[in-house]
Amino acid sequence: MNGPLCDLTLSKAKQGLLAKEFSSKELVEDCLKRVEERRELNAFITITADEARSMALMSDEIIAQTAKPRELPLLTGIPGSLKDVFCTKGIRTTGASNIIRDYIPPYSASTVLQLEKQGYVLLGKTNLDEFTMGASTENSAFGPTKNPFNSNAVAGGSSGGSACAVSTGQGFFSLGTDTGGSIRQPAAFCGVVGLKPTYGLVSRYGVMSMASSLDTVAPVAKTVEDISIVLEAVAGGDPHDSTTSHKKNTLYSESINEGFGELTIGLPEEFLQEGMDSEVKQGFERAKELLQALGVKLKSVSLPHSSYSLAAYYVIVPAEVSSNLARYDGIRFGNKIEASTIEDHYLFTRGQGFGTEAKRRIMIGTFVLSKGYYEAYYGHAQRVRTLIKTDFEDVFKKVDFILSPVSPFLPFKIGEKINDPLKMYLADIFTVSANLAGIPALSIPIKFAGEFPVSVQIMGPQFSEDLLLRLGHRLEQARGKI
Amino acid sequence: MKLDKNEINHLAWLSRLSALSGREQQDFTEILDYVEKLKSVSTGNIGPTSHVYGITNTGRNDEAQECADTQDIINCAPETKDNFVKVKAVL
Repeated sequence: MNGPLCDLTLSKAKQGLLAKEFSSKELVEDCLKRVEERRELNAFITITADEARSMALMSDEIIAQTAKPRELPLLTGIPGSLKDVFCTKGIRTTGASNIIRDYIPPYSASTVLQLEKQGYVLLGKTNLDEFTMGASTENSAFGPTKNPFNSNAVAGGSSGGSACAVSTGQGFFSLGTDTGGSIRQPAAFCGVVGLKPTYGLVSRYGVMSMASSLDTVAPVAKTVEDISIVLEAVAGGDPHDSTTSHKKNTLYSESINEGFGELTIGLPEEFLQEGMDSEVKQGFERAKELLQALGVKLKSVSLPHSSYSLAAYYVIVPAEVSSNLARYDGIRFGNKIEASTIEDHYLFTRGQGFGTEAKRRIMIGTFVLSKGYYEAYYGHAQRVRTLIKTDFEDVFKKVDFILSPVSPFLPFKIGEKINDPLKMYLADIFTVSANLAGIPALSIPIKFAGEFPVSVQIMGPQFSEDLLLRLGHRLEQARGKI
Repeated sequence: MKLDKNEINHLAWLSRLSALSGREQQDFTEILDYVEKLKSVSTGNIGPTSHVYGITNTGRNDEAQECADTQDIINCAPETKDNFVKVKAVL
């Protein structure tokens, strides 16, 4: 093959490994070399080079000894990374926060154990906005991650490190999270594919929670086929996470090349009335052309309550954040603080340990949950959420999927929006609805607009990942190289 | 929604956060103003959504199972004594 191994897709790397064209050790060394070459992008908080090398060694032994390479676990010998909210036993996990910057988890997340069972190799823990709150990775206590296409621009967030790493060959996939767009938007900003699965398809046990009714574990990879492999590796019910679905796991990677009959895709009127950069509109139009050429029918649809999604999201999320971040009290884990009273202990720990966005959301959450305001704000937002969810259910009776942009704008400059939280929140305008409704959504690059990629989002009914990935894969093939 | 400085400081105390700066208070107020737009939606008798598809609570048999190692858990605490996590006086 020509060119560095780390620039292969996951699927090609897997084929080459099983055909013994190269070893896992070679893959890992090539990825680690790329990690060093691109350190300036700040994609990683922790690089686990020693662990990666010993995991590669084990993988190579397994591959050498097997008589049936095709029956090996899905990700045998494949280097990948984890957003630094996935607890990894014995390996520092920071949440990109000062409040637990030296935390060593005593256990691993269920999805991490799944990846280990499937034979992956851990390259490192990637950078993110603190506790997954943000749309640019500028809220990290470890500095922002830079956009691989222009280092003055953001990589997106909150899974900026994961998306940047995959985009630049620093691993073949990454597991991130998506609560309001946190894998889809950075995937779009970095020109790679991100999937927000149906809520409950993948276990959240051992993943630091931000908003428990919206958080999803979400893969990012170079192609839709690669996503299908990672999703198959981690999806499934988990007794440790009572919000997971126990539907039988689908073999997404095996069915990826199957056809899909006649499909109709909805174009949501209200979404398209929102402001967006002209380049984003052009990307959306190009996606429509490609889909029509595949024989897909397009149809205008209405999501009448979608204009309230962002407001509902920014009531519900802070409420759940204020509850989830209450555990960071510097007592069972965290940094040693000198304080004379328990009150001072909390104030110093949390005042110094949390960043601005975390504190902001905790405050808003505390307010909307407080006596006298709970029903008017949180209770009301939860009922608006029902309306939003019902809008999608009604539309999916008429169409199979919904197409929309991912981000209303191209990657913005580092520092441009960080001091204006509302401006930053508007980044999520097209993505939050999928989380409120609990539906899957796939972010795929469509074209370049100057130096930056532009992506579109395809949303489907709950548990439609099989068909969604097949459609995304065909769209990608029709699009060709961008 | 306009909250005065005392109300904001009380919220900070409830959250166990130090008092907000002027700028932080302004941002906080702007966000609350933005979410006021929800008031224009009528929700009638509709129920709230806290879980996106109905699930029932799960249980398991009351049998002891393996958990993380006690020492690994204790080691996470910044202050310990005799294998207990140390806390400042609460009462």
